[in-house]
Amino acid sequence: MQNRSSLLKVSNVYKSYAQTKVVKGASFELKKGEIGCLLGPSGCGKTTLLRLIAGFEEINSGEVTINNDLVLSQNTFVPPEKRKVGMVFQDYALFPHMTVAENIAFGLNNNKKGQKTIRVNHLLKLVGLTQSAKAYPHELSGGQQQRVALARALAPKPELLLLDEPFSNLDVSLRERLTIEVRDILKESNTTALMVTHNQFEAFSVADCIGVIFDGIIRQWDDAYKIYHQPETLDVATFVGDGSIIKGTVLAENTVSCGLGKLTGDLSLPCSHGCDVNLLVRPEDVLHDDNSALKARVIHKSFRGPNILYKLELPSNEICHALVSSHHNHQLGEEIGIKPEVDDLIIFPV
Amino acid sequence: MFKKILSAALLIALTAPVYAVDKEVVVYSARKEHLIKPLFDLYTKNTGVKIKYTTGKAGALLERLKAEGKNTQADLLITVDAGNLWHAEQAGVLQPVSSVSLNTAIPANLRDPNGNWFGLSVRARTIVYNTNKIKPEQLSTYEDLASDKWKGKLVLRTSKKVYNQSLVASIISEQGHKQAKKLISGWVNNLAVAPFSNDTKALEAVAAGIGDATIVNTYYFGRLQKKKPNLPLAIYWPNQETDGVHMNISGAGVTKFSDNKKEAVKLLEWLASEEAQTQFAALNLEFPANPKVPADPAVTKWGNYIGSKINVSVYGKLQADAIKLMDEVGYK
Amino acid sequence: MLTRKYNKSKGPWRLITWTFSFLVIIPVITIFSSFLYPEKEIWQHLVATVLSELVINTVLLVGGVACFTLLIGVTLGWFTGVCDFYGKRFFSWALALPMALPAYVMAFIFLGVMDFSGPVQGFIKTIPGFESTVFEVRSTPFVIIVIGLTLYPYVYLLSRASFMNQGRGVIEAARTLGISPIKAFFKVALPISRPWIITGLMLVLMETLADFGAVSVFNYDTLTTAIYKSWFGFFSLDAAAQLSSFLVFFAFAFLFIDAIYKSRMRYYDSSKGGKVKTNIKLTGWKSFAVFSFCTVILLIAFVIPVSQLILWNIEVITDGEGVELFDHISKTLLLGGMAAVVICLVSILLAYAQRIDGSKVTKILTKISTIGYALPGTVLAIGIAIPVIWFDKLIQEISLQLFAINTGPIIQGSIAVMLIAYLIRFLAVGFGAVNSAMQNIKPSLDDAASTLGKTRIQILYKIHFPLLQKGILTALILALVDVMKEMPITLMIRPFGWDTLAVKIFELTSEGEWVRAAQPAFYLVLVGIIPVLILIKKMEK
Repeated sequence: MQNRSSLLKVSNVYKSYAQTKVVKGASFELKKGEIGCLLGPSGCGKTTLLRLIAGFEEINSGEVTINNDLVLSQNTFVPPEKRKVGMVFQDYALFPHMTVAENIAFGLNNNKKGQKTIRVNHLLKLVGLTQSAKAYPHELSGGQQQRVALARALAPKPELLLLDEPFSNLDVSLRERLTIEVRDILKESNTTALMVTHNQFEAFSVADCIGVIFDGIIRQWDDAYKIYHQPETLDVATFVGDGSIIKGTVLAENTVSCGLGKLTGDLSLPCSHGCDVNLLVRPEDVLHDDNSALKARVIHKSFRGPNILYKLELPSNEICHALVSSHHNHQLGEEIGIKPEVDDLIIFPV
Repeated sequence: MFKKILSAALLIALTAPVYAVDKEVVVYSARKEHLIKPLFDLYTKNTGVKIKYTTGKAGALLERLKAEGKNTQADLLITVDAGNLWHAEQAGVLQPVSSVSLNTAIPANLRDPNGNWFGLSVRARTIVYNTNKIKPEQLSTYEDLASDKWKGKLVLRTSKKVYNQSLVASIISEQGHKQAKKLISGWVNNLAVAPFSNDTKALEAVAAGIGDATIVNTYYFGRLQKKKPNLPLAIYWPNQETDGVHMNISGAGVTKFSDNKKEAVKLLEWLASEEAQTQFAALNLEFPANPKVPADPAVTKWGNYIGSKINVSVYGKLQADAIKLMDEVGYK
Repeated sequence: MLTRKYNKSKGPWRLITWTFSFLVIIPVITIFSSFLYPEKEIWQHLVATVLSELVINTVLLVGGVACFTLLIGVTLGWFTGVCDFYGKRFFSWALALPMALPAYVMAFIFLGVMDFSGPVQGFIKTIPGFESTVFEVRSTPFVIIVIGLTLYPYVYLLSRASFMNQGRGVIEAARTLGISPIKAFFKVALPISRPWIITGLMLVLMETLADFGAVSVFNYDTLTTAIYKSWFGFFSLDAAAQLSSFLVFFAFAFLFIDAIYKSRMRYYDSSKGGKVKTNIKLTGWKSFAVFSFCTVILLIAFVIPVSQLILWNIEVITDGEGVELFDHISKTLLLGGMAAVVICLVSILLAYAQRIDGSKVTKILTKISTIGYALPGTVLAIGIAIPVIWFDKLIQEISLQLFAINTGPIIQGSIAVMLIAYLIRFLAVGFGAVNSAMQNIKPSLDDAASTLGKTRIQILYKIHFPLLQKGILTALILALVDVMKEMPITLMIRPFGWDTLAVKIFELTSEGEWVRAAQPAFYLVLVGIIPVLILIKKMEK
């Protein structure tokens, strides 16, 4: 039953500390060269899952295999240093008493000296830090430290690279730039990687596939598009992206009646006529149209530069959001015309 | 760092214990190094026999001997105070020695009747007074110091020192518990200041006029006088018409599990001999235990006195009683 | 949130913790086993006569020394740590020097100078109208001051480091909120530094509890003097051991209090504190007052006592009583050095074991391993000697029975036993220093190294050793200085020929030869000052 192409396979893993269950039956696979991401709010068990794979924790049941080698089960425990797993830590964990080059060389064991230098130089170049080879970690900026941590983890050519909230200590602009850089570096070195984050934008820009975790359970394992546009559960839908839930009734195979009127599109769930559902409405699906008959009252707004996110109260007293060009600056309490434009009707049973 | 630690570990391995070989006598001594080493050096020079020694508190050395049992390296135990020797004998760490030369050299009251230990020097615990404040005629006996006329004028050393414990033990032995308690309590009532931690301090306090008189071992007086000859202090020999001056000894015994009894006895005999006795006593301004040997001139100039004839082994027997008695009357 | 677990590799480390705590527990058990032979008669006597006074004296002494060292140590730490005043740079290291003075040496110098026959009272008598003035200095307050003057550096060094590391930032914050420096000290800096101050205070309390030398010079009766009396007067080791268990009880109480405070302790990561913070500038009379305060403390705690030692030395040498002490000095250094290395090694192992296996049991066991600090050296020595001799006899019996070979004594009377004794006595000192350095190393460094293919031992060697250097050095020096000053254990279980300076001091002082004792005492202070200076310089960086 082993899938030959899967590099990391996590099957039905359970983990608890004392009486608290932290991971409750997680299963997923990563293929070689794929970048996966575990996305979820803090305390959801994603970091624990990562640390299990790294070899810092034992499990109660389930299995973890890396490259078809069983590394972790109830009776198996391969220590971290034998797993050929690299890891980038949230605080980078750079060795303060070593230079950048020494940090990167740290995991290079049996190489001959010349090869070691070549490898270190290659990595320095890869992360763009050739100039800083002799610097000490505390002399570097946060972004540079992050790249050293990445280079160090990549140096021994791990089968699998784990990244624990790697961008959380960086400021926003740097974060956006680095996410792209890191993805490029990983792809260039054809590294299989698993990242943990609570930030959906990081997940979207780095990962090939994303697992959304709540309460120790992976709710959905899919690519970014599907996670966003076809969330399988209500909590995935609300955690990923902005959006509002409004009540509706299925009228036909492709029509739902709700506070925004009758909406037509593909139903995400097969549903029979007359069935009551919760409908997810993304703010970008609600357009501003002064001519529309449907009016909603502005109860809150937040300016986002190119556009404004309006929080609106519908005639049905339900709340929905609309993302509108910032040229349309409306006041609180104002009634504005809106027009829903939905392709996929994301519905959840009540 | 790691190398340093390794080399240290190696050093420890190399400094493992070295054990006694023949022609070597091992001594545990409660007599301090500077009071005994010159004699050992002389013995080694005379005979070629090496002496290995360690010093320490009497009680600790005794406990060590007890614990080591038959594995002990010690051949000879030297200690101060008869009480300590008596306890060593009681603990069974000494063995009887029958040596004619020892029995003739050391008077009977200064050795164990069974030959477990022998006194090697005699120390008199006597009264020293401030010559500016009182005249010798005002002094008479230890007992007199308990009378009201000395109120606020007496200086004493702590009751924790074995010399005072032995002194009180001898008083208990001669006068009975009840009388002794009355006497010591009289001393405590007469104290000018709290007891001192050693004899020298007590002497200096008397010299400074804090009190009129104190009870000390003569050699402390001798040492102080040597250093500061102008202090207004003088020795008084009490109880000359009754039982004599309180006498104590320093002495030695051969250990029960000595591997080298012959050499140990030889050393002991030599220590009691005239050659050694002169030095042994003189090193510390004590009186030789061997009556044939004259005391150091610095000591003889204090005049002749009559010493107590009581067998010093009593001190050990009554030591615990003495301590309890002193605790009861609040002698610190 | 996440507990650190590597169950599969924890076994050997757990074994280390168990081994060393067991090692420490042996003498404690030996001491407590004395209750199998109750010394009813002696106890009745003690209870009826002196026991209550001894307990009161001990509590007064320990409490007094605690207050004194807190007052002096914390104020000096504050002034030299965060204030600017005339002479600050000099005082910040000089004020730690009294650490090199053993309390028993300080005590005999103090009495030599201040007692009835000393120069001070002698001088007062020459003043007209004061001819018959005498005053008693052998009283509780002076015992407290004398012991306190030799022990305050522990509190001083730790509180100063804490004020420097984390005091200034929050004080700046507090002052922007309109709080005066003095208020900021009491409301912010002091509470923040409390765990460090308590650590220093713990060392002070334990030392005071175990002190025998200084109190006996003053003839001040405490539980330790009663222990000596029971042993050397009543010749009852059992009664002595039973009294010692009182001290163990006190020590456990201290450890308990310490644990409560430490549980709230958060370590400051110095790698992020690169910014230079400004000091509180003292000017005018304030600067002068602080300068005078530091000067007075330095004078009475160090300059005057050491000068007196030098004067006595000159006296001894001119009297022709000087002795060759080279051998004593080298033995002191050698023993101190070896013991310091052993103490350090074990401290590292224990701190590391605690890092890997953070379970409650391990924490409690490590705490227990440091209890030896509160035991009087003599009692501890006996607690060690008895099992060592028993072990030797056991081996001897076995080899006689099985191979008909008489092995004789094996470990008794060896350097190894001494080192074990020092280890048990001073582990607390080394462990404290190493452990706090260990806790400063982020746990993620271990994880990072292990994902990079390094084993536990490799991580210890490549990551922890280099990062612990400062902590290790502190531990080495504190242990070295403490072992060199140590007297009773050295006296009791040293092998033949291993006479140290402390042994020499004992021999001379117990004969009342205080002036002659000044010679070894001076050398002891001298060899102690060098490591103390290195320590202070290291702490500056």
